[in-house]
Amino acid sequence: VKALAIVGTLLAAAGVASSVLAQTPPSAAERPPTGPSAKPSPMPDLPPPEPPASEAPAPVASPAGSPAASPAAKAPPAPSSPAPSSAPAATTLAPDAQRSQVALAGSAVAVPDRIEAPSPAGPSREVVARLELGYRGVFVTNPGYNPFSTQDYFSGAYLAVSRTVVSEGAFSFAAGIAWDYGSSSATSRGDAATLMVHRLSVPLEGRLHAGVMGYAFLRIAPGMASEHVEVSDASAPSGLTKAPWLFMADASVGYALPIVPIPPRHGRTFRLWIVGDGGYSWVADQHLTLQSSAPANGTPMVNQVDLGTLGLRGGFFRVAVAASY
Amino acid sequence: VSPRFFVVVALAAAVVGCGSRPSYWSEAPNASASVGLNNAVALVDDVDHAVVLLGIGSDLRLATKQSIPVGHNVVSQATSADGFHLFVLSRGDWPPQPSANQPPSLTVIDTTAFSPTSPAKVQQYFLSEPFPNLAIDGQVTPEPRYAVAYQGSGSKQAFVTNPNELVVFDLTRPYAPPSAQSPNPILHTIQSFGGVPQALAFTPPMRVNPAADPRRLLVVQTEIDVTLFDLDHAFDSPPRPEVTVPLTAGTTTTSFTPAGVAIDTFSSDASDARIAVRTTTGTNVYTIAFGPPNPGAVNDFTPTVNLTDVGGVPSDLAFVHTDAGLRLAALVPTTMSAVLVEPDTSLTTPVVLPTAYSKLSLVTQQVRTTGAADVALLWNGSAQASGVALWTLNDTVGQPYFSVQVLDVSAPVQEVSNVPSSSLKVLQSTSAEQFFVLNLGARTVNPLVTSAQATLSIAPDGQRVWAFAQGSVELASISFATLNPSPVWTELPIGAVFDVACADDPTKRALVAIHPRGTVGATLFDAIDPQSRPAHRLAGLLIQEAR
Repeated sequence: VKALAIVGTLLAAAGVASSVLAQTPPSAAERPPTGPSAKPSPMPDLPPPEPPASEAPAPVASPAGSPAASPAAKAPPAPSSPAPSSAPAATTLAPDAQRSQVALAGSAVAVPDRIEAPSPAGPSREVVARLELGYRGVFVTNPGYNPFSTQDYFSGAYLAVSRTVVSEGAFSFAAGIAWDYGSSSATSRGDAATLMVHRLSVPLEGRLHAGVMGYAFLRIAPGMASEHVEVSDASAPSGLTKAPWLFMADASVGYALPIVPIPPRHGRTFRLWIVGDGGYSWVADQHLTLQSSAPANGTPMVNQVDLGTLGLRGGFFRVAVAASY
Repeated sequence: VSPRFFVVVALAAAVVGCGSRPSYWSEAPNASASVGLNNAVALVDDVDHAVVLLGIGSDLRLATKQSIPVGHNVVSQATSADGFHLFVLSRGDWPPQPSANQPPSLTVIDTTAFSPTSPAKVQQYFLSEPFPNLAIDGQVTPEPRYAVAYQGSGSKQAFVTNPNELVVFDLTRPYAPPSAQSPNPILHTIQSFGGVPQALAFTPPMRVNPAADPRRLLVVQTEIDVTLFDLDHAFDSPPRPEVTVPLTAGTTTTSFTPAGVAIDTFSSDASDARIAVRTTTGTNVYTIAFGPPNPGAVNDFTPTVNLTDVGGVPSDLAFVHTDAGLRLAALVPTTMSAVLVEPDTSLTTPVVLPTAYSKLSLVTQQVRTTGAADVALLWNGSAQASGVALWTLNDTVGQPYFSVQVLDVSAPVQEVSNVPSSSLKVLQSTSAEQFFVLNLGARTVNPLVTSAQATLSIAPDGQRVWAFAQGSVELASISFATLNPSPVWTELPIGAVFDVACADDPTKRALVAIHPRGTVGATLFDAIDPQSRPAHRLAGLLIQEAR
């Protein structure tokens, strides 16, 4: 049943994406640039790529939010670009090429907002940062989770920032840092039992872009998790607690769909996304031997309350809203 | 993708996420009883259907903890006389349901070898229907041999019950179903003349026939008679029939209800094997002796009954050795006397007592007399300051007035507790705020005053008594050697205290004060010298590993 749910979640994410795409015409920002208003955006945080000697600079850069440039595309210097005039470069694509090429992803989930002319010595790079906020649910069937929930489900919030670091053709790679927080509590054997989990992870994401339709991605997120367990029992001098740091990792596949284009401001193009993914979440087992700290002048508690082993793992899904620029 | 697809996916996810947890977590524990054994404390958790055994280390920490499954719906629990066995009688799931159909059962937990390296042994016996009452064999050499479950006057669980049915367990053998060649337990219905079993007593081995082996008998008291059942032949196929002794006045058919039984335990002499019965309203005492079997009888003994009128309704009985030989001593409060009955001839000797004592127990071993005659302790008198009396039976027949020595106590004594391996007795009076330590050797009574109603717990090693008030945080150890109270305090209210041998070193002892709060906690003290070491606390004792 768990496998069914995982597969269903993935399919649902993909289905949502395809449905939205099928019903939503491309936005103005996603159309090929036309006219002289289309100008390249500044890229102050990247070193300017060196154009190939045999290529003439192109006067038009791809607009913000447009499909990514191909490494083979020619990129003339942009007159309005604040980049050093010695080697300004922006990529100009024919409309068809723009549609067919895959944008550079900005972060954990992104399509290119800004494109830089490719370097002949390496893959093209994109200046896209990304902020992602979402909801994450894990289906935990481990018996160690029973004291903390009446259901086999653990939910939480998800916050991540990321940046595209490499792109090559329709593929790109992004890395970032993510923070999860979730908690669950229940009355167990008459006691209040609470589990709070903080997870810090490094999402590493490979993307396969589909132009204006967004992209699919495969994400691996290793990290550390803090599982804070507390049981309030009237027989103990204080709360019975344990809070170790544990290794964790997530593996998931998903899809990112651009939804709301926002007109460029200050040379930056913002974009909102809906992101959905599903996969398997694993946190190292924790043996729940809870202890209580005695009051300063009280009788020390000398036994550990053994709740067994908690393995906070299982299939998960995540839905998020992301903003990239 | 159709909307129906998303509905299906959402439902699948909901099914996975809404899996419920075991009911164990959803119910608060119910420490229905805490029981002190010689070397462990047992917490009966009827919600979890388990007994949690706690072994305390000599370092005042939890040395070992063992959770033992027991039957559903615990009816009662009891310990053996040696303090090493715990018996838990369960009603099971009655009437059976498809989701819960555990049969009634008796779980026997043997903690003789219980230690951090050796778990307690467990034996479980199943019954065909629930029984509300359990009687445990008091003989423990080398271990309890028999237990009997019976309906008695308990609440009826089944639609049809047989109130005269006994379930006899041979505790030295494992469970064997009724279909087995040698089943254990066995069911036996005693013959009924209108009575229903109300109380059971086990005899020690009795030589009921010079030609037969010593015999264990079960004495079944109904409302109108007494039945003797041969336990050592209960597992024969078929078992030997029981013998019923009707309790009438002899001259009329009026029946009397048995109120107590005395068993001659002095020797294995066939002529000395006797059982005496007193009744609730009759002035007769019934003495049952044993003789050779009648021709053709299945049993190898024949009981003979003597009736003796003691002049009033007796309140207690005991077989005693006097300077004139074996006698049956009966206390008759209405005449403020005791009556000595010669069991063979029914001749009686009245002994006038200073007040109307109603309880009697033999303390011959504790007073260390040199003669062959017994010394009896008399208590629960009617007068305000009746205290206790020592009745020396070597001058009884000739000079009965000389044989009773009264030890004054400021309040009537309600309960007398034995101190193991000691010449001391602990007397609990009707006064809520004092108790007494009786020294039978020196024949002194020392009062100990408390500030509230005290609950007493005598250490099994006979070295001290613990006193505490239910629900308070203060308790005290009183050493029998010095009678010096040593107070200690806990941080949570106390529900019970148990003085147990340490699981890793039986020469050391720990005091376990149980706190019936939350999932049950405890405070541990050094029992021998509670102020010598800091106390330690245990918490969450009824929380088990996740399941």
